[in-house]
Amino acid sequence: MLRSVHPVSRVSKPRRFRVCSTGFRVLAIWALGTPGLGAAVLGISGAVLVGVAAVAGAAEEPASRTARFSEKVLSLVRAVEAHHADHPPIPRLLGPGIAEVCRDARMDASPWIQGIADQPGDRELRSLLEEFFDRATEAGVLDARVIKGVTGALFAAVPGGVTPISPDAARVHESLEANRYVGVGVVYRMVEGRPQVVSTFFGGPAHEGGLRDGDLVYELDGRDTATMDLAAFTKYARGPAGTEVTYVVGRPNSSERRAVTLTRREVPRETVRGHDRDAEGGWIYCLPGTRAAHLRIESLTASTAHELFRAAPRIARERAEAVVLDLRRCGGSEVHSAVLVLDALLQEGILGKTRDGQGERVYRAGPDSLFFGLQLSVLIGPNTFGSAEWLAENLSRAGRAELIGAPTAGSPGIYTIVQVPGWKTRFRMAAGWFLASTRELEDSSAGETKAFAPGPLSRVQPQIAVPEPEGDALTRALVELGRRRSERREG
Amino acid sequence: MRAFLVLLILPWFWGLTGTPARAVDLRSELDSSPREPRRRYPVALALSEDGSALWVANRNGSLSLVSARSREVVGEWELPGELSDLASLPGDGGLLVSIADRSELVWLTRSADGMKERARVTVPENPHRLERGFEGSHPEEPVFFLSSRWGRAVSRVRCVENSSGFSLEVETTTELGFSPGELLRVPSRKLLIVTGAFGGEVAVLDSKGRVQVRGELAGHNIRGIALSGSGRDVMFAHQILNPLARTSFEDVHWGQVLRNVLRRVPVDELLVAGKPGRKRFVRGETLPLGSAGKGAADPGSLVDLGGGRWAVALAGVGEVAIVHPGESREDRVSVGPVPSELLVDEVRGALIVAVTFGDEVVWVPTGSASEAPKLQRLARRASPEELASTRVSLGPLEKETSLELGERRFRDASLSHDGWMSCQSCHPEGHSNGLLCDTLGDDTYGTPKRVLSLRGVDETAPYAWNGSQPTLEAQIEKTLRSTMHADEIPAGVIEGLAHYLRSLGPVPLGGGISTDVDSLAAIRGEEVFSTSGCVRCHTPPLYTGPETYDVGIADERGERLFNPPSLRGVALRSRYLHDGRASSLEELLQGHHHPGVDGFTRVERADLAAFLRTL
Repeated sequence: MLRSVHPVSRVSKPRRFRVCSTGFRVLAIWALGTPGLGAAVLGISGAVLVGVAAVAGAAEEPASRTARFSEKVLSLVRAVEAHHADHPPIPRLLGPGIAEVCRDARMDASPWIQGIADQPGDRELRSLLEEFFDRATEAGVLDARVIKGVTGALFAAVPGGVTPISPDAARVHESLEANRYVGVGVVYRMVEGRPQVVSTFFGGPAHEGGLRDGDLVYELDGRDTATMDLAAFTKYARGPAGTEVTYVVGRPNSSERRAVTLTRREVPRETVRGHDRDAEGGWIYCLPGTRAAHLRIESLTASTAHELFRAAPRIARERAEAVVLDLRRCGGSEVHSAVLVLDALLQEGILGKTRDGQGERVYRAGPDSLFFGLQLSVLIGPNTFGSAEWLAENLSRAGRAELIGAPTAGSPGIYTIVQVPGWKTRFRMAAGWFLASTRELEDSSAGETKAFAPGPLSRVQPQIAVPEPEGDALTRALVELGRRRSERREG
Repeated sequence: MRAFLVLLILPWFWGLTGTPARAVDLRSELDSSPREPRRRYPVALALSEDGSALWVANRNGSLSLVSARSREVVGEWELPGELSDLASLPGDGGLLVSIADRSELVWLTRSADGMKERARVTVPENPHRLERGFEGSHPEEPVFFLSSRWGRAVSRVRCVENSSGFSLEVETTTELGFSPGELLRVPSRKLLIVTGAFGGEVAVLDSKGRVQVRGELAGHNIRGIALSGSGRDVMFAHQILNPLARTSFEDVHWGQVLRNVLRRVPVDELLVAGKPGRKRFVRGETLPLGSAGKGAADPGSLVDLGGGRWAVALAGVGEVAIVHPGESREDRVSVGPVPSELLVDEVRGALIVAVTFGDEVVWVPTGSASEAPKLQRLARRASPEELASTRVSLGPLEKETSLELGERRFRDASLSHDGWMSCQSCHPEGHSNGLLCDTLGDDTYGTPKRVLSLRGVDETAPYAWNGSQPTLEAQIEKTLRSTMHADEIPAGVIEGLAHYLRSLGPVPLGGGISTDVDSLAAIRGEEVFSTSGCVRCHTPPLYTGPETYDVGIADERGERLFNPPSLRGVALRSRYLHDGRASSLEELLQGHHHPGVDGFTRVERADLAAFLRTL
């Protein structure tokens, strides 16, 4: 924790520094490139990126620069140690950064490298960092360079990485994970310098208020959107529940404009979608002409298991005989939601295993499961990652489902957002791994868990390889699956 | 015969049925004075065969008679004790009424002199539900089954009327090994289905009351059970507590912690025997009740409305839901606090609802799906005249006391975010569902712990598994805020809940299962208990203490210090230790590293178990 020390500051205001490029890139990929949070993040995450662009360097309480530095670095180190399953030792966390700064300062790094070699306690480490900071800055290295050098190297040293994000961005992330995002429910992209509506959330304010897919947004609350990038636009578009926002929109290649005023509210995103909608807007699940229900899982959030439970009676009413769980554009880095979904689909025995800063954890299923008696298949592909890979792997391991499609991404990281004492910035920190299942894991379902150490999940392989299981290819794969099962039964 | 019936009857009552205008009870004269303000708590309903008269059993010791035609109370009789259920005998043969706190079953008939008690019999402790049985070769002597919660038994009672008078004969008593709750007869198979009062146990008994099959539903709090119109399926209304969910705001918001469901189970599935020594879960399709923003806490009494629609009382949110399976649709009607029993009034195409904490009986038109808007109008109270005509107050109410407020709020899901759960959801009747819940009661997630019984909690401070809450009020507030995520806690609620919990005594001594206990073994077991150090942590007379102890087992986060739960009523729990790892006292004493038990001989363990069953 920060000590209450009166500042002896060389700088007149808190400094900011840019996040190391690696961290920024990681977040950008996470927010935009991966399908885990779905295309919805496109619009919403603009503000995430704004928040990420700078890490607040200011301490919450006045303190000497030296003390602030040592406390911040120390608390980061301890946070990594507390949260990460396979955190590196202190020399590997701090050594590269100290060496880098010493190179800039033309100082000999060995006294400090040696000082951290023996895993020092808080007091020793604090003292060492203070001395290092004073010497480096006396040698002419700017405060910000020292901080950036040490923390940047620390972030890079953590397996899976650490990414600073703003408190606002953390809140957005958490609201997405909880599926309780507040807004009007629109996914945007930039087209010819204007935000364009990619899609609206079914039943959300934008959907009900008449915004249509493809609409170009010309004004937002009277501001011309031509001057905005996507990040600035989404920043203005966001606001608390109950507030209004006015859009002026038009169709592409049309001079006609229309104004739409919407009230922001909590807009749950459908993370479980069917094949088509009926006249009342409900989902139809069975593929045309089949008794196979197609459930597209868009992401694994706090609501996904609830949505599956709600979908089940309708699927039963459609007299489905098989369920195809489509995870091809699904993923996540959070364990809890995946555990609840897996628990909904598996009955008794082991669900799966993870390892994080709290150690290894084996999750066990309750006595109930959805779609009992129905054939279950899972579609996977290169955009199936993280928790969705874990879901597919464990459904297959338990003999509950067969996997169809292409190998998955092989991205087993578990991430968590951490509030570190002394930092206003939050940190999205790798915490551990979704673990591969093993034979020992299966055997342990009969009794006590056996000692074993499966490694992080690697790319999950399909049992029936179909590069793009759509339309006829999907049908053929399902037919093939049925044939194999029939053979097994007869065998 | 104890003379206890007091007739408080309005002078126009007998006009309803054409019986003589003058009536006396067994003891007193006709009392036509206005009924005194009181709280009645209607808990059970029975319609006369012609549908003209509705009998209402009031928990606070009275029977009300309501005209189904005029929707007025036409009579009320004092019947001392805590009434729990009633049933009509065929052919106007009278009424059977169970009295929970006296463990008695009473046969009442109507005569020219009024209501008469014809027979009374003692039954196993805490009778709860009555269900028509199978008469066999004596159709003139109706048979009823009766479940007894603390007695953990189902009794088969025959109503005999012959030249020597009336009598109630307990023909068989079947000890179940769990506390029974709801009963349902399956006429086509001559079977009786019995469910657990707290957990998810299900047993199927034959017409003689013999257990045929045992199983379990994946869930607890089975408060409703009904046969589908086809007779092929049994629908259960119950709850599912998920130990993998956390009581975080998000999990509560999305209904992950406590799911409220209807579960349709084919009768044939209930009859499948499990493997010896292994618990068998019966399978069935679940229909979720409630959605985000609109929870459906504490589903209970239910009826098949035909056309695939079901009506279910949602006790926690004070509503009746008309459920359309497969359409993900529920129509809700607000009826008042704690609707506890539904009955179909076929003559009027309506549901009759006993609103226990509103002291009312409510007629709700069922109609067809096309009438759903009408139901919604009722729910919004847009038509006061219509509502007024469907609500029947059972009499003037006296001001609610703090204790009464506490009991009402104990069953009130408005104290939870979006109405997903009430206190009752995990602590049915103040007891425990025996399941694991991952709350912040121990200040961590990822460490689900067994739900504790609140019976006798007045004297057993501190509270929570880690003993972190010094007072009952502090524990209640923490639960309301961090487990139930109450949007607001109105003034007086915490005090009222504490008042109510303090009024709950421990579960009955011996739990009515003393017939199981070898008294000599129990005496020897007490000696073992006293001399081997058990009393250090489980100190008599409360069999608990204020400290925390390392019991040699840790939770998922490595916490090893626990405050010992009181051992009073320990035999009436379904699971033991903080994570429920032991399912019987014998299992607890044999293999779960409880301190000191390793050194016991087999006989000492048996003696100790016998002693614990007497607490």
